[in-house]
Amino acid sequence: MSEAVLDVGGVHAHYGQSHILHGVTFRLARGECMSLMGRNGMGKSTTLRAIMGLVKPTLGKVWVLGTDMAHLPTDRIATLGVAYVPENRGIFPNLTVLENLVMAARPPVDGGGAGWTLERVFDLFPRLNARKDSWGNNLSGGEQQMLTIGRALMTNPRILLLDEATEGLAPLVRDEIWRVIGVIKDSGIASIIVDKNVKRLAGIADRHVVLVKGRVVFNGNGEALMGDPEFLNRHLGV
Amino acid sequence: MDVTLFLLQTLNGIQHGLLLFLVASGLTIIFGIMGVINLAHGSFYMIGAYLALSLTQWTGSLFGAVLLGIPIAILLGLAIERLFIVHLYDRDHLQQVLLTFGLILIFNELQSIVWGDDPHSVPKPAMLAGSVPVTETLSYSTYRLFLSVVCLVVAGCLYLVIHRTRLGMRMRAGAYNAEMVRSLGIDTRRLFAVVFAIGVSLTALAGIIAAPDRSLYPGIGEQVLIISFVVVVIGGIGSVKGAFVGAILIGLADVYGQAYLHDFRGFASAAVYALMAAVLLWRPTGLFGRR
Repeated sequence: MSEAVLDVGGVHAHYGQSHILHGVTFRLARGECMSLMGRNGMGKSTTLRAIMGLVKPTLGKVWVLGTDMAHLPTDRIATLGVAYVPENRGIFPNLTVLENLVMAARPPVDGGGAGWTLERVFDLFPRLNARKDSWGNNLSGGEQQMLTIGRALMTNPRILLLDEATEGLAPLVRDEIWRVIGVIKDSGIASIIVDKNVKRLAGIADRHVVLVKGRVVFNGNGEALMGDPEFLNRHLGV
Repeated sequence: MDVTLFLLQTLNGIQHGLLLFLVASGLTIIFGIMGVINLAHGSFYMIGAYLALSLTQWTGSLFGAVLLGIPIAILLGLAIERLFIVHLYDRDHLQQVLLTFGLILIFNELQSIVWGDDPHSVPKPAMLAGSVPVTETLSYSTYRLFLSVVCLVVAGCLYLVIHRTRLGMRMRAGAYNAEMVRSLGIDTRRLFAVVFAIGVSLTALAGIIAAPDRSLYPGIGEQVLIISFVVVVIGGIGSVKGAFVGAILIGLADVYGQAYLHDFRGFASAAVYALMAAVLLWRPTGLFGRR
């Protein structure tokens, strides 16, 4: 097995009294694109938030390249090379598109390779260049999602966590986002993608993890997943 | 009504307002970005004023007091943030008010011990001690003109920092969604410490440069605190632009009130609160507040 950039080991997490994650375990290899699937409320977002340190795991460990992050503050986790695109996008409405992009820009952690720059992000999303002086709250849903992905890339991450990649977007914009996920994958950034579209995920992700009630019930490739219609129907409603 | 006198009163109001802005801008960014109600904010004005007293005596010049007083204020701000304020970020407003009110009592007691309770005054720098003749009989204090210029320059710098630098972008972003700022790899603890130190040094600067124009006595911090809260509420909590406009309006209302309403006993000092009530009836979140 190739070197893991992210290693989630037996993570439990609570929101107040409710026990959301029950020992979630998986590894993400360098450059790998992994999908995280499951019905609503099964713990997908909580898993991403736990990796990001926004929910502190009550038990279990999260390693990024060998560093145990479970007890590090969120900003340290991010500077180790983890970028997060939350479900609600998290755009700063009182900053312009350009400011949203440059406020957190960082060179790559290891210094090597061609980093993401403003030019590269604008090449990827010409729409953002056209709207660079607009305020964050004047953007459409699609533009917001482009901006939040662009902003994540500006931190030059090694791992990208993308929650609800295309939820609530128009069909054409969805195609655009899937194209970009492909570009990100080709650029060598490891990623975890959460989305409702099982078909699109099966087409792009190297591996799939399915959560049911905070437990991993499937961890394998697309063939194995798509080859079991009964499983798909029961756990993903497909 | 004498037009020249009215214009002089207007200049006084603007000068008063600009000084208030330095205090209120610190108060509003600390509340807007860090979510902390800092009742001890006025104490930093008081400390600035008394530092001006001691440092002017020691260095022989008000400019020496500014040069030494600002670094002292920054260090004091960083220390108070790390010792006390840092514990308030995730707590409710009642606890914030209780702790920072406690700080007021401590600072006032220290002031009484170190400088005593007698009124003091700080000499103006000789080159600014004169006045500029306006008409044959009326003139305007050179020092007050100097005060206004300094405040405008500081306001301009603050605007540039907030709108043209990455620190400013992060401050504005932090005011909206601190969790997302952390998720992007920015240490908000350090950011908040910097914001607090900026707020404290703006207020202390106001205290230092106001000292030669006003007398020093116990309780000046609280006076400034209350009027600054009025400014922040009028301008819209968290808005620096609002604090600027609010401060000028309050400065004018205060000076006009004292000048033209002194026949109506008690109403002169109530003018600023009447203005606040009127603004809040019209715009409940203040002139530039988020709706």
